[in-house]
Amino acid sequence: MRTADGDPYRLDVCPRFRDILTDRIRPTGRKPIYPRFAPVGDSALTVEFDDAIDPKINARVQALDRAIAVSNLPGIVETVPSFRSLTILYEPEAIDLESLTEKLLPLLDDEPRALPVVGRSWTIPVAYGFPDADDLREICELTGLSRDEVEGLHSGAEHLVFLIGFVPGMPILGGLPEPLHVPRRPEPRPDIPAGRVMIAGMQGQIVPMPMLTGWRSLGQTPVRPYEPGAANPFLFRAGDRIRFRPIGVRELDALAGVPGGHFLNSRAA
Amino acid sequence: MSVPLLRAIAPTPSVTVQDAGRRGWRRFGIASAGAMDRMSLAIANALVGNHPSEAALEFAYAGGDWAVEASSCRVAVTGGEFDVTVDGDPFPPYSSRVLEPGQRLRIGGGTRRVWGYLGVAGGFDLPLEFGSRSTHVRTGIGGLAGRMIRAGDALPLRADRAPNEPERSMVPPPEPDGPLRLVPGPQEDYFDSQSTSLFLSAEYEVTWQQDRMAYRLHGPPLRHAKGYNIISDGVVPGCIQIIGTGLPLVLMRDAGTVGGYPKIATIVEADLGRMAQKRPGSMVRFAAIGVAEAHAIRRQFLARLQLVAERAAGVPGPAY
Repeated sequence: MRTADGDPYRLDVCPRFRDILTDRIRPTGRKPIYPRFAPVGDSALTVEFDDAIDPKINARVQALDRAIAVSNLPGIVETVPSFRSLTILYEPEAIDLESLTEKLLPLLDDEPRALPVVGRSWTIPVAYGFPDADDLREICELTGLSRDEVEGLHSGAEHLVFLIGFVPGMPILGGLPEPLHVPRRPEPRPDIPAGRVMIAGMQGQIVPMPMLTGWRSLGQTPVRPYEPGAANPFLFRAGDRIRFRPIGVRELDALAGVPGGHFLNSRAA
Repeated sequence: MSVPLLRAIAPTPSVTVQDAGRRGWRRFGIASAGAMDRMSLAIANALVGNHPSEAALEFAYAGGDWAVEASSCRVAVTGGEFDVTVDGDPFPPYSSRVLEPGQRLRIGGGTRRVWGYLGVAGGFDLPLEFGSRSTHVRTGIGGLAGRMIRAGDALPLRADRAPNEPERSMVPPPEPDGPLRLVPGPQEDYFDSQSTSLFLSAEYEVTWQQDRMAYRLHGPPLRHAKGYNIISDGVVPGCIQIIGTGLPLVLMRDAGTVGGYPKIATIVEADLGRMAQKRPGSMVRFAAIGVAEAHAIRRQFLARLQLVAERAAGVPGPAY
């Protein structure tokens, strides 16, 4: 494997590495060369575009994901977009890794061209400070901002759905304005209910189902990212864009149970 | 006529419905779930005449007491050498028999291995969720109401009567020994060569912290060369995360879809069932292989899965 400062693989330590260390599959330079193809066991491959959380990098993940979806590549089981990489589950019975990487190479855009925006745009209502008034107060203390400033910054920004995950249907959001970057709570709390709009670090999330989390609550939305049993149980997809709209508690009650699609602004071509 | 069913009289607190797991929904955060030991699931099914990936009941260490409320139902238990009886008479694992109403099936403990399977002829009449009947308890998906089986639960059966067929049995397939095989990565470069060499030469002990989601191993801690946080990326069952303590956490069938610890290596499908069946206190070793070899091992495993299921189903042929 590789040493800390990027020395080539020590083949004497692990002689059987040789057959996966072809230049194409795994560059042996001192720095990783992106995109980097990393096998994940016997039937998955992660294509890494960089080592950063950045909408531009994520756009390349989304682009490869879409390219595969329309490509008719044989043996693809499913693809899993995340911040800076796409994990591809494949059937080795249908395609070997070398053929797969060969077929992926032409799908990799070095500089993604002006791709049409395929993510959808949402306006999600939030009752800020409800019901976890203490959480919002803490966020104000940590950031030195007033409640109005926190609301204004959060609802003024466009948030990108980097990925759906950790739990079913949960959008993990980027685009949180820097003054709102706050650390996680020292201890996670259990049973955070569905609909909480939360932040931690440079990210946001909308809780889809009761869960344990150390993130901090900004408020509550009537929108449910995951509706078990529904024909389309997942409201959001990776690549979607979300704006938040401040509402009062009365409107929160009035909107409870309104179908998720109500909050969709536009559908991309 | 009432619905034929299998009644949980006194199940152990580990019983879930599992099949071969779900695929195609990871991008929405839906874990695969599925049998911890696919080979044992396939044999339990074959012994009662089912497709190898039909849903069965999975239990850990012991299964508890069961009864049928149907005209009859053919059943088989596999996975380990569990102490199984029907009304007190021995009912050896890896054989089938017909359970009649009023009889009590008792699946007691065993001495080796962890996970066992109770196959029922015709399978369970439960809905598919995201293409599978596997239970993922943490998210409440699949199986019976997305949860573990409790005392008094009624599991609807598709068949009211056991087909008139000869009973089947087989010698449990030999358990391959030797190190668990893994493909390095995707983040083996988060460890220096001393650590990776230690990882491949050390023996790790399976601890009590084992469940359907992950197994914690104990042994020499590894040193992270670039910290223990990565930008979360896709994970699959078999991924070995090295957590902040430097110790391995092996992701199992219920693991989520993305994770934030570096993954030094990923156990191949053929050996994930072997990993799952290791009891606390067992020692495991790892061997790194390349992807081409991993694919060859996978082909052999799938062929063996097929062959073993055929033998269990009474198809004659050479031994596996």
